[in-house]
Amino acid sequence: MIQVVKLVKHYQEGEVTTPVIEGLDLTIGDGEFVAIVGPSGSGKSTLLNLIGCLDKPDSGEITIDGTIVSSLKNKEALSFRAEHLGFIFQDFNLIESFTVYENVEFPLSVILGEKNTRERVKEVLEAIGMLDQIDKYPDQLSGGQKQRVAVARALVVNPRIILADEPTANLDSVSAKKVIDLMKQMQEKFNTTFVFSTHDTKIMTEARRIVTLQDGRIMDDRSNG
Amino acid sequence: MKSLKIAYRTLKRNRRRMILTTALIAIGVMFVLLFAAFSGSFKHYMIGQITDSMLGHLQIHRQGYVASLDNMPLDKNIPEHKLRTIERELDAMEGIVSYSLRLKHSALISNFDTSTNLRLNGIDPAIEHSTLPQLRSRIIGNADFAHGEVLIPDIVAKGMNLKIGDSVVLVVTNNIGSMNARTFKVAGILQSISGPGGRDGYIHIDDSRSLLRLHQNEANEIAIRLHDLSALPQIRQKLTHLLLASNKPPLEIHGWEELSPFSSIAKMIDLMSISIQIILISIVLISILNVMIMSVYERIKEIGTMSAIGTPSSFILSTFLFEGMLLGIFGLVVGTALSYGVVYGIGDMTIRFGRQDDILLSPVLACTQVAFIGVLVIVVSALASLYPALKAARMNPVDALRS
Ligand SMILES: Nc1ncnc2c1ncn2[C@@H]1O[C@H](COP(=O)(O)OP(=O)(O)OP(=O)(O)O)[C@@H](O)[C@H]1O
Ligand SMILES: [Mg+2]
Repeated sequence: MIQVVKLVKHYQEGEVTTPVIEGLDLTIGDGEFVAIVGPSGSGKSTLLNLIGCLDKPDSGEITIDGTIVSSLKNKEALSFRAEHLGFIFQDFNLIESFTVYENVEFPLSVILGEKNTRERVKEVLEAIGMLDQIDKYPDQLSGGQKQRVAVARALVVNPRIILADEPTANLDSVSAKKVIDLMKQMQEKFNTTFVFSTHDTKIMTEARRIVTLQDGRIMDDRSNG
Repeated sequence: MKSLKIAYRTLKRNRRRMILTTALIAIGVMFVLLFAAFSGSFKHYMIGQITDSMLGHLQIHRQGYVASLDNMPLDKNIPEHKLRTIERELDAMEGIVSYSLRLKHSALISNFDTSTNLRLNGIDPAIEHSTLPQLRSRIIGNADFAHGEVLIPDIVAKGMNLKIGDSVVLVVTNNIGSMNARTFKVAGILQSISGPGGRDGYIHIDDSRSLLRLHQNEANEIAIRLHDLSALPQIRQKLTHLLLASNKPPLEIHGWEELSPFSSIAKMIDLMSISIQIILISIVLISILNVMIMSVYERIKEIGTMSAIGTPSSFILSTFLFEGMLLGIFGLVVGTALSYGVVYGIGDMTIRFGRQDDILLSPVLACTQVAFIGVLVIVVSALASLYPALKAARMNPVDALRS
């Protein structure tokens, strides 16, 4: 469970302070499939970065499954991310010099230092339907395929939560729909919490809950279908 | 070792960049190694010739002799009793192969037609040859000449049109001004080499003594050959200690470097060698730094992602360190292999230097030199990649992903 309480985040650039998140409260339960929407600059990425322990708030608190992640030190945040969170990015960001298999194996073998990874990697690749492409390099894949590999990379460590910042923004509508469907399937299969941000109204309707941000606050929070 | 894999594959993906950098470093390595191989063999040849056919490794004189060598002074001979003490010390000392007593003086040489001045070394041929093992190779004719015979330098032979077997008169003035002359037979002709004494003639030391009307067995130079040239400083120090203690008359000891102007050429060669190595360091440093900064810049998102998903910064650091070091190692391997190819391909060659036109170079790549350059290139590659690698490892994932 994610609990965000009285979250405040400002960006300081020289003399100018940009308030981005101003006293935001949000609770996301286990296994939810949540879209964060809002106009550009409304703080979607900032919020996801804060929940993902990539950045620190100016005040307020974020708790994930009982851990107050907003006060973790850099090193602790790093291992918390490695063990409990998965990330999916707008431009896929696979390791270009690794094959599909190696990219998916990476979090297990390099980050968590696990030895027998083959079964798990294959299982996840099978789940995303890419078992026949495991020896390809990212530049041999389409955008949609790359994002599916990124989903697999996020899933492989079996994280409680996967955070995806605009996972479909670089994809055509067909591939975008496929990726969102895949995320949904995975959410059902592994009961992983998915929180993703999007601009795309078609994509946001796929979510079961839509949180709308405006001027650093939640303007709307409703469940969907 | 996953980081090494990423490093290697990244290089393979940027093939052109890798080939260019490797080639640049390889050329630098080749420059250093080939210069070292050729200049080293040149130095080795020249020093060998100077010490093995002219000067010996060490020389003992009466104090002030070397400073006034141009005048060939005869008032600075080492008296017989002193020679005996020196001989005793040298015989007892370890590390000495042989030593030769010399009586250097000038003479007028005449073929009854023309005459010219000549510098002569009065020596015992057998002892001189064991002290200067390469002297024979400079001599055309009878190297083991007898009393009444003379070896003349080739320029004098040419100038006076003298041939082996010709008779010449040597006229010698001793230190109290009395002249003495005798007929000698030309036993051989000496090839000149550069440096002091490189154009001296030789007669038997007994002939020198009788020409100079010396009643004692005096000498004014002792040339010493050592077993091992690298032991020169220690032996020199020991000798200094032993011989300079009693100063009747005071003596002086010189190593070959102080006696031959070639030692400054040798020093210049060493200096050039160091300069080329500094250029190599700069090439490696700049090219790898440049490539690695580019590599980090191109992969900011990849770095940000790795860090976001929890990759330890040490892994990111080693990825980029390995990438830079691999470039250095590739360049090193290619450059070293090509250098060996060139050295074996060329083999022996003769070059001209100054008056000498038959200097035989047999360049070799010394293992220590190759190892030193290897370590140098790898260390410099690591240093050059360190800054970009640290930059990558310390990158804030949020900033990296936003870029
Ligand atoms: N590192 C930063 N330094 C300064 N300002 C920043 C930084 N990151 C974000 N901002 C600012 O904070 C505000 C919110 O940015 P954020 O990226 O969270 O918005 P967003 O909702 O994700 O927008 P988009 O839909 O365009 O992705 C913007 O005004 C942005 O300029
Ligand atoms: Mg954003």
